[in-house]
Amino acid sequence: MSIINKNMAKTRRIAFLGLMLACIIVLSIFENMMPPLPMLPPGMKLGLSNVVTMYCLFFTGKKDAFSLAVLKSCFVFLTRGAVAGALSLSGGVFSLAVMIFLLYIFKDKASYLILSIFGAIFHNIGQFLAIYVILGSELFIYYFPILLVSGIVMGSITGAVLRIVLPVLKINLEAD
Amino acid sequence: MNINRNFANKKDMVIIIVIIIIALVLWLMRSKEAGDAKAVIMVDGAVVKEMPLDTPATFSVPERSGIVFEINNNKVRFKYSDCPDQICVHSGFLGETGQIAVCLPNKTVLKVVGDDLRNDVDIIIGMVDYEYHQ
Repeated sequence: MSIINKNMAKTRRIAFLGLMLACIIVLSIFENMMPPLPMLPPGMKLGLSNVVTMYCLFFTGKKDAFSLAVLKSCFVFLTRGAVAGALSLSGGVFSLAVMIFLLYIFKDKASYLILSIFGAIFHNIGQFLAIYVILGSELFIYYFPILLVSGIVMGSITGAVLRIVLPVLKINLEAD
Repeated sequence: MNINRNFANKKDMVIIIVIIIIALVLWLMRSKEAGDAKAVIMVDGAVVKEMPLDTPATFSVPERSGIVFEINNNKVRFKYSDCPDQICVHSGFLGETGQIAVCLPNKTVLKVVGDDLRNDVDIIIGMVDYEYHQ
């Protein structure tokens, strides 16, 4: 019987994570094709690739999710340049860190919605910090409220997508 | 890991409302449009130009000749840019202190600074270049 969890066989894990990385990359490309929304800080995106990262965090563990975030940033670095890559790395790491932290504290009581929302908010915070380090300019004062609210909205959407997709993935857990 | 995690609890609504309240408080705390606000342009982390917002103008800076800024109606924007994303141009006009538009490929920041925010200046490059790119 094949399983997808922290104990799966090494080759299966590598193949599976490669597939997940491909999903992440495709979702990220798809997001970037959408036009930017007027009110938001430039560059705010839907965060669909976070759905896959969250799924891997829940079902394959922290190290794998972290590797996926780093690899996604490498892809962004290769296609959109160093600054975009640094933003992606910073946002991804912050987002994962806060989700891991919430999971550690609340274990099974943390709901998908809250994890997703905090993940989205801290992804934005990570990006703002990276912009501050690189460009020496603060986006915080004016844009923090927008960051929080858009984090709630985007986090809700990605959380909902994950929740919808989960039963299908659950079937795959027992497939083969 | 437990697959049967809840999607949302009642507690979550409280948390979300708290976040919204924090966002509202911060939103109300931002400074209003200052009369003597000026536009500050930074390239590679250094201030290269400051322009008052009261006079309409169209200009670019020598460090980035592919970018044209425009000041109109006490607001400033990226008018044209040579970057592939055009996120900076799509940011539109900035009219309130604290607002920022960024062109990441060009490492250029355009921000609106009021008198109450002291902007620390690292380098000022003296010559100002007025060009209008068609």
